[in-house]
Amino acid sequence: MTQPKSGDTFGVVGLFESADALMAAISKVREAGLGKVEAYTPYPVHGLDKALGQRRSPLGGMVMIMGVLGALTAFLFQWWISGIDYPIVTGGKAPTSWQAFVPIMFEVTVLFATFTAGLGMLFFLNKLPFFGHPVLHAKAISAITRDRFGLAIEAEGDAFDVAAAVRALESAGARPIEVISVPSFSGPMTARYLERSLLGIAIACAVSGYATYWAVKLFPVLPPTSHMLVQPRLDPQKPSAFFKDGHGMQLPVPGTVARGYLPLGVTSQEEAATLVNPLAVTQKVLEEGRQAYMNHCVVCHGPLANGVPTLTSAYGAKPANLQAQQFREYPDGKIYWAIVMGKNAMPSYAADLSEDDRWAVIHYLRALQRAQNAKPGDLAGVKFEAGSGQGSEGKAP
Amino acid sequence: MIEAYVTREELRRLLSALLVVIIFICLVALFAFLIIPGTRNANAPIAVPAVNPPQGQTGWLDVTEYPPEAGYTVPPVDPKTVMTPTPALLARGKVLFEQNCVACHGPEGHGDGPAAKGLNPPPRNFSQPTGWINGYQIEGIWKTLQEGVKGSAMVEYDYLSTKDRMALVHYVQSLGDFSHGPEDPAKLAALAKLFASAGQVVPPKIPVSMAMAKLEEEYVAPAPLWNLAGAPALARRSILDPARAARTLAGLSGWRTDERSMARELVRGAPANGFSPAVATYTPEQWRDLHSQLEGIASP
Repeated sequence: MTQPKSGDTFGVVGLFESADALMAAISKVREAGLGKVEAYTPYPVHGLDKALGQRRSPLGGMVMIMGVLGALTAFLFQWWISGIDYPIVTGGKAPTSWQAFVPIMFEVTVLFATFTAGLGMLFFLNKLPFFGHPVLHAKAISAITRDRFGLAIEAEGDAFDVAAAVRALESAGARPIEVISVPSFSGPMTARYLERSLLGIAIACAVSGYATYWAVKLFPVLPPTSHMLVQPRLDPQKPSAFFKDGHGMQLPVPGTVARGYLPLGVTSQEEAATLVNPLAVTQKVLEEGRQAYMNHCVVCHGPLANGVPTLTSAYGAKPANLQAQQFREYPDGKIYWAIVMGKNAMPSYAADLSEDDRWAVIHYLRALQRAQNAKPGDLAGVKFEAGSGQGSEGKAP
Repeated sequence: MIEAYVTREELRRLLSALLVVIIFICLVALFAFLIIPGTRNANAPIAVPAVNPPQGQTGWLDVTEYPPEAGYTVPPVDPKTVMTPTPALLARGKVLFEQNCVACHGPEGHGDGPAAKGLNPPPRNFSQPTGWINGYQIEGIWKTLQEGVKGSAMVEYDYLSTKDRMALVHYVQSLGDFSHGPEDPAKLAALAKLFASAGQVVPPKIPVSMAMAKLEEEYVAPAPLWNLAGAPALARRSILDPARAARTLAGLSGWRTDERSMARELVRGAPANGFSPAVATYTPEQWRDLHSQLEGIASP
C-alpha cells in the first residue's frame, strides 16, 4: 500500500466510554456515509466486524484452495517422477502405487496451507508492509490502548468533509473528537529507509564479491594462496635441502616394524606349543570366542567342532574333528599356530581374526571339547528327561 | 420442524463438529487398518499357528544346546567278529571310508582326493604296497587310525568305535589288489586281547553353555603382579599390560629357574602376552635384570 502523503487529513476519531456506546454509534455514523468507518478498541468486541459491515475473512477459503492445490501438486509430481519419467519398482509394487505418496502429499499440503495462511494474512489481508499507521500518532491512541473505544471516519479520496465527520461523531455521542493528519514519517521504520538499507546491502555484497573475485584474479599468490610448484619438497635429480645427507627418503629407525606387520615370534608349530594363552577364561572372552568361531570356523569344523561342517557336501575337504584325543591334548599354542598359519587345506586366518580373537576362539574350542567330552562330575545335579541320556545302550554302535 | 429446536446456525455448527469427529474416526480407522492385523480382514486368523523350529544337527534350534547326556561304556567287542573281513564289515567300512577318507585318499583309495592337492607328504595310495609308514597289515592300519601319522595331515580317528575302525581296516585292505600278509600272530593276538578286554568309554555330554560355565568356574585367575608402580624402570617399561603379564608368567612353568627360556618365551609371545615388543632387543644383562625384577613383583 502506498504511504499517504504527510500533512494530509487521515480522518476523524472520536472516543466512547463503553463498547455498547460504540456499537450504538457505529450504525449512525455509517448511515452518514462520509468515509470508511473503522473502530479501534482495547480488546476484541463481539459483533464489531459485522456492525462495521466487514466482509467475512476469505483466509479460510484461500487456505483450503491452496491446501488442495498442494496435495494435488505433490501427488502429480510424485506420480510423474516415479510412474512416468523414471519408473522404478520399489518393494514389489507398481511404480504408480499411490500409498507411498501420502506422506509427501500431507507435507506439501501443510506447507502450502501454512504459507498461504501466514503470508496471505500479513500481506494480502493486513496490507503489510504499512509503516506508522496515522492513528498510532494521534493523542487518542493512549486512551484507546487503555479503556476507551475509538471510532474513526477515514478519508477515502480528496473530497473528505472534516466538519461533517466531526458533526456525525458528535451527534453519535463521541467525546472528545480528534482530527488526525498523516504524520511526517522518519526513522528506521519507514519504507524508504528499508528500501535504502536493502539497496545498500545489495551494493555491499556486489562490491565485496567483485573485489574478492578481482583480488584473487590479479593477485593469485597472496598468502594463504600459493603456487603448487613452490613448496618444500624433493625435486627429481636434486639433493634434499632438508636432510643432512641429501637423501629425500630416509631409512626407518632400526627395529621399526610396519603397522600390522609385526612378525610372529615363533617359527614352527613345535615352538608355538609353549605360547601361553594371555586371556582369562571369562564369560565375556568365551562369548567373543563363540562369535569368532561362529563367523569363521563353523563352516568347516561345525558348530560342535566335530568336523561335521555346516557346508557339508558343498566342500570337498575333510575338516579336522577337533574333538579327537589328539586335538584335546594339543597345547593352546599349537592351535594358535594352526589359526595363524593354516594347516593342510585350511588357510591362514591371521587376516580375519585379531590376536585376541584367536586366543578367545581357543578358549571357546576348549568349551566345545569339554561339552562333548565332559567329566563324569559335570553331570552332578543334572536331571535327565525321560528317554534320554543315562545308560542309552541303544546308541552304542 | 427442526428449526423449533435449533437455529440454522447452531445446526451448521453441530454438523461441522460432527464432520470433525467423523474425519478423526476415519483417520484412526486408517491407522488401525495399517497397524492392527485383525482389522484388515475379518476372516484372517489372528493367532499365528505355531511353526516347528528348524531342526538342527542334534534336533535342537541351537545345536550347541542339546540336553546333557550321561556317559556309558560300549561293551567289549568279540574279536571273532572283527578280525576277519565279512560282507557286513566291508559295507560298513565303505560307508565310513566315504565319510572320512575320500576327501584326501580319493574314492578308489589312490590318494587323489580333492583335498590331497595341498598335502605334503601326500596321502597314501592304498592300491600300492609301497610307502606304508606303519605297514599294511591289520595291526599297522589299526595303529595309524589310533594314533595318526606324525608330521602329516593324517590325524587320529580314535573317536570312531572299535568296530568301525576295524571295518575301515578291512575296507582299506580290500582297496589294494596285493597280498597284505603275512600277519604277525603275536601282534594280532595282542589286538584281539585288547578288543576283548576293555569296552570303549563314551564320555558324558553337556551343553556348550554349561561347559563354558564350568570352564569359567574352574579357571583359577593368577594373582596380579604386586607393586608394579614401585618396580624398577626396566620392568615397568617391559610390561604393557600387567594383567596379561601375570597370566603369561603363571602359564610359563619354570621361568623362575630358567632365565633363558623365560627370555625366549616372552619374546615369542610379545606383545599379546602383555610384554612390550621391545623385549626382543634386550641384551643378556637386561634380561638378567628383568628376571630378578619380575621375581620381585610376581606372586609366588
